Amino acid sequence: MREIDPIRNPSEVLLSAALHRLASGSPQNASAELGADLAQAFRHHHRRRKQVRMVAMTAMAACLALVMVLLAAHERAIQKTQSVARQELPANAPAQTPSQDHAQQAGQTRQQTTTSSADENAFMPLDAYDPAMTPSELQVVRLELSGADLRLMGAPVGEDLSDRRLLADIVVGNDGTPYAVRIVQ
Amino acid sequence: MAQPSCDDQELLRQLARGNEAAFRTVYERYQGRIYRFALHMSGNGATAEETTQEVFMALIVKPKGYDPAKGSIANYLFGIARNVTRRTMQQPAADIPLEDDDGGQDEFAVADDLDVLEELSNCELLAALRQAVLALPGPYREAVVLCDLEEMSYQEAAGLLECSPGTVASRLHRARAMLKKKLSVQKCAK
Repeated sequence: MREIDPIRNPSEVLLSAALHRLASGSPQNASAELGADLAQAFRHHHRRRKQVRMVAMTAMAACLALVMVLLAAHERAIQKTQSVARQELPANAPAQTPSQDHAQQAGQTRQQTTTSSADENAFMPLDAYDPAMTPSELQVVRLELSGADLRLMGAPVGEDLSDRRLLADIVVGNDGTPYAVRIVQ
Repeated sequence: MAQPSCDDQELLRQLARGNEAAFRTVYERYQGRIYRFALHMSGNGATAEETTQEVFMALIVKPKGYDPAKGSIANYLFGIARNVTRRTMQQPAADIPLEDDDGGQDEFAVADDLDVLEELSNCELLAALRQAVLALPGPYREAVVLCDLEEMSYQEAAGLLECSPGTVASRLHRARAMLKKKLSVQKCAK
């Protein structure tokens, strides 16, 4: 506050006193309602901020979970593709190579007739068949032979088909030994 | 310029985190000064309430708008209050020619010698004085409100008004001369 000389500036003193009275005669504070309203606005603002933060965090967590699920699915798809490729690679003609399963199935059905639809496409192992042989040592040849010839080879062909010419796929080794046979027609 | 106190800064940090007690403390600490400043600047209780509300809403919505490096919280709040009051009254400071130097005092020389205040009754005086304060140009009114009505030092007022203490003193001197002149004109008219 500045100092005023009351003798030299009496009007200044009066003005200061009047201003002081004006200040003290005016309301000193905002209404209590305003304080309550602002406190409520404060609560509302922070409640909404918390909600927004929660929604944002939930959305972020959901996005993260989705990304992880997608990544896992992608990885599974890659593994599946790789395993399929691995299964397909060693046997270029899986239906034409006598697998162990096929051989067992063929063994079980050796006594059945060739007209059985379930066995029509299965190779039947012959006496020389060795499960330890790798597919690279084998090849499939399609031949038309008489039923009698096929029966001599070990194929389960009935007596009634001895004179008939039959189309057959024969799995042979590199040395020409027949290991399995499948009657095609 | 007043430096922000650690207490105020801690309160603001708590306020930003949603601590209602911190908000209430800040509100109780500053609402009176903000309200009175707005009231004397506008001469209107409703405008003063609106201004106070806007100032504290700004603090609620954007507590990080306050930069401790720029001054105290009081300065920050008064800055908002000044802007809101100016906007409300549609009287931008740029439109008002200021004469903070020593020039232009002759205009008020007559008023300095008048002693009109003794002749007005108390009620008349306060009413006339209120009108005279409201009629002052914004920057002069700010100086009167802060230094004479709020009894702040030139240093404090300079911090709030973002000018030098000398400028505040100059504005106050001219404002008081204007007030006396306005009061003498009123007395003559009476």
